[in-house]
Parts: sequence; structure tokens; C-alpha cells
Amino acid sequence: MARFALDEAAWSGPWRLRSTGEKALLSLGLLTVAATSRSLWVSLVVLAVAVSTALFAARVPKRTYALAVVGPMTFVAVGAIPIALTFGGQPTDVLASLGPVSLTSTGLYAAAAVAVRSAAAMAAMTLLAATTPMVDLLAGLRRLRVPEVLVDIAGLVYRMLFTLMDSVLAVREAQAARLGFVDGRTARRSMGLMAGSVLGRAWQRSRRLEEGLRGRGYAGSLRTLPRETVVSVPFMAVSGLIVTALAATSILFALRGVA
Amino acid sequence: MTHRTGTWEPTVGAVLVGEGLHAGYPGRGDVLDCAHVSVTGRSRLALLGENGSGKTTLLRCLSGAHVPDAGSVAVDGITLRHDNAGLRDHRQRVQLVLQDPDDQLFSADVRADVSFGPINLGLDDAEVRVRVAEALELLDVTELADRPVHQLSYGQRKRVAIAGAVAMRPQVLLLDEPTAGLDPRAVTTLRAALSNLEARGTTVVVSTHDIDFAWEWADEVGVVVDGIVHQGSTVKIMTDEALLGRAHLGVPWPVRLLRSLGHEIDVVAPPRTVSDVARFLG
Repeated sequence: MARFALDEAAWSGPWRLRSTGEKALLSLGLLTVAATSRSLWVSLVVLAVAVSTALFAARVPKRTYALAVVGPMTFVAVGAIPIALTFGGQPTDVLASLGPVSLTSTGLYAAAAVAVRSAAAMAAMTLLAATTPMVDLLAGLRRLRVPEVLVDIAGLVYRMLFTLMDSVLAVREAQAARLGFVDGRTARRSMGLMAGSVLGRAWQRSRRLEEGLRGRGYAGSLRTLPRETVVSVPFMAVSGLIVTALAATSILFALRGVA
Repeated sequence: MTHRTGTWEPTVGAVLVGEGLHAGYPGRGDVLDCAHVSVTGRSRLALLGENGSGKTTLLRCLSGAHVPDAGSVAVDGITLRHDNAGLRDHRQRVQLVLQDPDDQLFSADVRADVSFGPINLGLDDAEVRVRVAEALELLDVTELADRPVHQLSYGQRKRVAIAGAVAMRPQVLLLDEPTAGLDPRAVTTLRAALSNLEARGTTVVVSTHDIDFAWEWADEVGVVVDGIVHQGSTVKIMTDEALLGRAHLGVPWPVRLLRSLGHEIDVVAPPRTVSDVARFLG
């Protein structure tokens, strides 16, 4: 079966059996602070807390974590480059210049602030994603009264993702064995055929799945037994304390004009 | 379209009966053409036939998943109606497990998936938990309860799919090719699970290509050929080389071996396993 490293970390990690509420409090609390704070230092602390909690407390494998964040971090880095550069004008704090393009200390600081804030927010979300299996997140959404049809669709997509990934890998292997990726033109044709094949399979599978569900009394809702988890008061208290302290520091810095 | 007709009587003690079933698909014509089948309570029925012979269609008709063009299905004498109430009632008594477990497992983890059917029966959470625990134990997958479905092996997923049906506590369980794609160890585990179900009173029907499995396991066999079912005791049907030949099936290895050595098959206590054959040959 196909595997996704972050999903596997969430299923096998020591925080697997923690309640979704506990993890959501910490993760979404850190996310809120990161997204609202104007202080670079507070964002840096949020980033450090989120990363160290994921790696050392929740023991997410370092390689898995690195692979999960490399994509978003590349996006953040590319997005920060234009912020750091100034085009035209006569800036006074130029660090380096090339033609009309200048790198200024003000621009560099602004780019760093945006990048660190984005990285902190991303790390906070990754903390939740790497420690909470999708099934728990969906159960949490159900408890929050998100419309059932949306939760059901998300659950089915998650489940079918793995079966379709298996199909994609099998078809790709079969195509590759028959030189289906020997050059760009052949590869494009193979990819198109693979997409058609996998979409057809998805359609057939969804019909058979519906038949299987109807056999077990499906009448429009995919309700299943909720998982019983015990909320850890100490964990909630420590999480609340960390988030509150960071939020208070952020407000204090904003009032005193500390960057 | 004209349909084949005929008179037929179900066996005494039949709990599930399909009578005069006609069923087909656009472009393929009739797959079943006046097929009769009766499932005797607490006996093991194996349905044999080549690919496309209509085994799966027959199981789908018996479960209510496929509406036959003609004929009827009855469980405990109550004729199946294909309206919501009729299907709901029928599915509490008869459950079908599809060949590919990924067609049946929709939930991310095992316990949640198995709980789906009992919840749809309107049971309270405490009763649902009891049924889930019971089904997981019967299929010997209790240790997998909190595992994600996509991390299970094919054999484990098959047993979890069966547990999902068993949690409905059906009177009759229909299994479509339960041994297909399983290694010998997984087949042994599955057979032990089926024994657990039978001990609890569930009547099990399987469709299979595996003639040796059918010979060892089944009390009765139905061979689906030319749109009809030839049903009888395992010994009677599985020693009929002409019938099995028409279905493009071979005879079981003990029958082949003993006949090649010039022995007759004992119809009262036929040798089903290696040790039976060894004992027979002395």
C-alpha cells in the first residue's frame, strides 16, 4: 500500500492517543500568535517552540519533518525575495545594488519578518498535522458541527487517496517496464493514459464502495463510532500557559513599539 | 426476451432461497437464467464457476444489491422487497462481503469502519461497541482495532471487511471469493475465522475458484454454469467430472489421486484432507 510519511508519523507517534483538543489548543494557539504578532522575536520563539515540540516532545522523525516543511519553506523563501528588494527610487540604507535593483536593510528586515512569521505559522500547523491522524481531525470537525457532508467527503477522499495512489504506482511501474517514460513525448502520453485509467478506476471503485456501504445500511451519512480519548489537564494547562505567555509578550512588545 | 422456466423445490431447512433468478447486464445478456439456490441453515455452501459464470451476480441478487429481472429471493420465508424498508430488513439477516476489501472499507481506521453498520441499525453507542468488539474478536483482528486501514495487509483488510459485515449479526454471510489473493497462511487464518462464525450460528456461503478449498470446507456445492446452479452435496457435485468440465473446473486433488489409483470415493466419509487420504490409503 502507498504510504505518506507525515500521515505515518501521525499514526505511529507518541502523541497519537492524545485528544485532538489538546493538540489543537497548542497548535492553533501558536498559529494565532504567529499570524497576529508584529514582533520578529515573538515569531522566532513560536517557531522554536513549534519545531522543538514536534521533534523532541512528539518525536516526529527528523527526516519526515524536514521533508514535510521543505516545500512550504521554499515557497516562503521565494515569496520573501521580492520583499527584500527595492526597485528604483533612491533608498538611503542600501546594502547592495545591481542596476535599478537594491537590497536595503529595511527591505531585508521586512523580508525576514515575513519569512519567520510564515515559517512559525507553518511549523504550528505541521505540529498538528504530524501528530494527529486524519481520522481524529475529521472526528474533531464533526464535533465542531462542520456539515456532515463535508466531513464525509473529506474522509472518503482521504481513504481513496491511498487506494488510488496504489493504482498510480502500479500503472506507472507497468508503463515504465514497457518503456513508457523513455522520452518526454512518450512520458506525456503515458501520463495522460495513466490519468484516464486511474480516473476510470476511481469512478468504478466509488460505485462499488457505495454498493458496499448500502449493504451495511448506508442512508446518506457515514457516521462511525467516535474515539474515546481522555483530555490531559496538565497538557492543556502547559499549552495554555505557553500560548498565553507568547500572546502577552506579543501585545506588550506592540504597545512598547518593540520590533 | 424469453426466460427459461421450471419447477423447483428448496431444500428442507433452507434459510435463504433464490428461486427462478434471471439477471443480466447491458451488452452481456442474461448471466443467470432461471437459477435456483437454497442455503440450508448452519451448513456450508460453496459456489463454484468460471470467471463471468454469474457467481458474484448470484450473491448480489441474494444480498439485495442487484435487482433480478425475474425471480425472487426469500430469507426465512420472507420475500425480499427492493424498497428501503424491505432492503433494510433483508440486510439485517443477509450480508455480502465483496471480493476486494477496498470496495468495502471506507473509514480511516478499523474500529470506525466496523462500527458503521451497527450505527446504521440505530443501536446506542454502548451496544455498537459490544458488537464491534465481538466482530473483531471473531475475525481475530482485535489487535488491529486502532490501526489505519491503509496500513493493513491484504489478508488483514479482507478480515476487517468481513468483520464489518459480521457486526450486523447476519443470519447468512455471503463471501465473494474470500480466499482470492491470499497466501496459504492467510487462508488458514480466514478459515479459522469462518469456523468462529459458524460456531456462533452464522451460515456462511462462499463463492470461489478454489476447488480444493471447496472440497475440504463445504457441506454443499453449487456449480454455476450456463446461467443455472447445479447444487448438491459436495461429494455428489465434485465427483461429477462431466459437470465440472462444463464449468471448466477440475476435480479436487484427492478425487483425482484416488481415481488414478483405481479407488472409488466413499460418499459417506470422503477423504477431504491429506491425512484423510493417507489414512484411506493405509
